[in-house]
Amino acid sequence: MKLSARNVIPGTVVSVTKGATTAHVRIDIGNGVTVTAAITNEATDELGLAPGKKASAVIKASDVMVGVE
Amino acid sequence: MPQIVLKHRFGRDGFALDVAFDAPETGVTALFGPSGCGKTSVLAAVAGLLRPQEGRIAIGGDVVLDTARRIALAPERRRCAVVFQDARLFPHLSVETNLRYGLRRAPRSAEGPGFDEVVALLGIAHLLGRRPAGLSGGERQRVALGRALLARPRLLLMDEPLAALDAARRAEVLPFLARLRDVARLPILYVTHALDEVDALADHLVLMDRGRVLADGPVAALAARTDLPLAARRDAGVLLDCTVGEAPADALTRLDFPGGALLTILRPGPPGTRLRVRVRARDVAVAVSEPQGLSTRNVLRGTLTDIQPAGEGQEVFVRLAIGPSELLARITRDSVQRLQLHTGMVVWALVKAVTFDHRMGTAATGAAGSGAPDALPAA
Repeated sequence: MKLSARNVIPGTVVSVTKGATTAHVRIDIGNGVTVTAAITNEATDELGLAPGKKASAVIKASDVMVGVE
Repeated sequence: MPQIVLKHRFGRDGFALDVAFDAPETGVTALFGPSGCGKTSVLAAVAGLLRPQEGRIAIGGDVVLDTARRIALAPERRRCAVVFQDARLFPHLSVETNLRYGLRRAPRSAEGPGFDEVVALLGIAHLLGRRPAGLSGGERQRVALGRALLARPRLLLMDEPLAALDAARRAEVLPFLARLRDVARLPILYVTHALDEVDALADHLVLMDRGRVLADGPVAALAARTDLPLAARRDAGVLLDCTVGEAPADALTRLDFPGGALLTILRPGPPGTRLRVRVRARDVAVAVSEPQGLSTRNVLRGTLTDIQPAGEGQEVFVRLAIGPSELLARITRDSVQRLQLHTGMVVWALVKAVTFDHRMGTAATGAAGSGAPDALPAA
């Protein structure tokens, strides 16, 4: 996909939790690390997101914060 | 239209104020800038509370100050009404008497909304018998707005009228300010350092820094510039004047803007409701082919018109024309190279529907002076 977003991280959907309008989708990106996406309920239906499905987390570099221990 | 030219130095080597701008005949002109930039001093000089060393101020065609001609009208003769951070109501008088005090100050010949109209406009009918001490901060500020309006001024001056309120009270008073703007048909000078108030209320923006005007013009035009300090903010981005196109109960709201539409999880009101939406440049990504299989709801086809540096770092602002409207995207230089972005190129702007929850105007302002009060909440 030719996108400006710098981070495209492949993984597997672990859970999809729908809310009133926004759904939270957890994606396992390996080594037990998960990334959570807040997307619309419609998008989860359209993309057929369900546990076990392969999906990528797309994250703009400017949205990534850095924390150190 | 109010014309303001001021020069003043506080102390021999102190802070210097040097500003000149015209404000539109109706609507809100926001004086915006960091603390200490001189915006409140400008207001004080207009009101007549500060006598500048040099200056000329005209309101409604009348010169109220002209240092060259030794004209300096007393504050009470300028017919400016001022609303401060704290309501400054008379504590020993009822709300009604406070309001009627404003009305008594109005010249007989002055036109403006009547007592009942102002009370209805600000939703304060149920408070008339109370004393200020028995009101919430938001209610007090609404009464102060009413008192100012009833004095039938030629110019309303507001000095951070929401700054002393907590977030909930601010959200309560903001729609009333929008109503007042739409009904009053007066020029309003509005001092603030809160950008969301500018987004929600202002038609015209005077951007100030260290005693000077950095830029002034329509709010949306200044928001879309990448060469002003506004662009360095986290919430930098364009303002789009939108109209609710569709608002189904069980799906996303569609906001129409000239040249396109945005789906959002916001619920600003029924179809026809107008609002101004800030689309943060950080929230916009760019694709060079129409993306498939992406959760992003808003994929807007447009043309890349400009690439400008964003500060000193590794990022740039990319300007996109979507029909007659513009979007700014803040992306990395690396992406510009990787995707070989250049001006004239057809691109797709990606904006998540869940991204609008943090910034929106409460009421429409469209073009300056259009004043259609159709986005107002029920009182």
